[in-house]
Amino acid sequence: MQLETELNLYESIKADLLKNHAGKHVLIIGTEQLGIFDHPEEAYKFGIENRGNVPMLIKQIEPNESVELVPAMVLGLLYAHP
Amino acid sequence: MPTHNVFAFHPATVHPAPPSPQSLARNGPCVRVQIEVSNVLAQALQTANQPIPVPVEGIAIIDTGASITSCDASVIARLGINPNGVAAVGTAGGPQHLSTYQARFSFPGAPLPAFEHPRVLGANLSGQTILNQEPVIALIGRDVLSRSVFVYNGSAGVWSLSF
Repeated sequence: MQLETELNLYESIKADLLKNHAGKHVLIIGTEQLGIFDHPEEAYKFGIENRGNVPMLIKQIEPNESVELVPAMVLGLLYAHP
Repeated sequence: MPTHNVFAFHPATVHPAPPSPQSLARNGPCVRVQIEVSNVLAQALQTANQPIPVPVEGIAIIDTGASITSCDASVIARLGINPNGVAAVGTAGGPQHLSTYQARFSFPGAPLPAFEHPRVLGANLSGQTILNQEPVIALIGRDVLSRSVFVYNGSAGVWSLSF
C-alpha cells in the first residue's frame, strides 16, 4: 500500500496529535511531519511548494477513522454487465 | 449561484419534445467534466519548466449513494498526480484503504464554476460508458453535493445542480 511509511508515523504520534491538534490536518512526507494545518488544501500547497509532486499523507486528526461508502463501486454494480 | 438544468431526452427524439423520465432513469444525472491537476501543482510544474498534463474530459455521474467523490485511477495516472492521503472505504470484507488525490474539476458547456477538490478517491471506473459511449471518469458524491443544491425530478425527466 502506498503511504505505508507515513501512516505508520501517523499512528505512532496520533495520541500526541489528538491531545494538541484534534480536528486539524497533519502533513507527513516519508518519515517527516511537516506541519499542522486548518485545511487540507493548505497542507497540499505547503507539500507541493516545499517537496514537489511527491506522495504525501494529509490526514485529519480524529480519534476514529471515518469509513467512506461508495456502494456502486463496492457492490460491483459498475461491472454488472452480462 | 449558477444552475445547470438538464432535460433528459430519448436519443431518438426529434425536438421539440418533452423530457423523457425513462431516459433520465436509464442514464442518471450525468454531466460533462474536465479533470486536471490542481492550480498549485500546475504552478509548481511551470516553475520547474515541466509540462502541465493535458486535462482529461469525460462524463461524471452524480452518485448520491457515494459519500466521497471518485475519479478513474487511469485519469489520475495520466495527469501524473501523486496521492495526498488514504481513505477507508467500506466493503463486505471490511474497510479497504484507497489513495486520495487533489484535483481540479470543471464542467465544459455547463454554467457551473470549476472547483478544486482536496480529497478525490482513486477508483477503477474503467470500461464504464454512457450516452454515446463516452467514458465515465468520475462519480460525484455527497462531499461535493454538501455544498450544492441538487434537484432530481424523475417524473418530469429533469434534474438541476447549483453550487
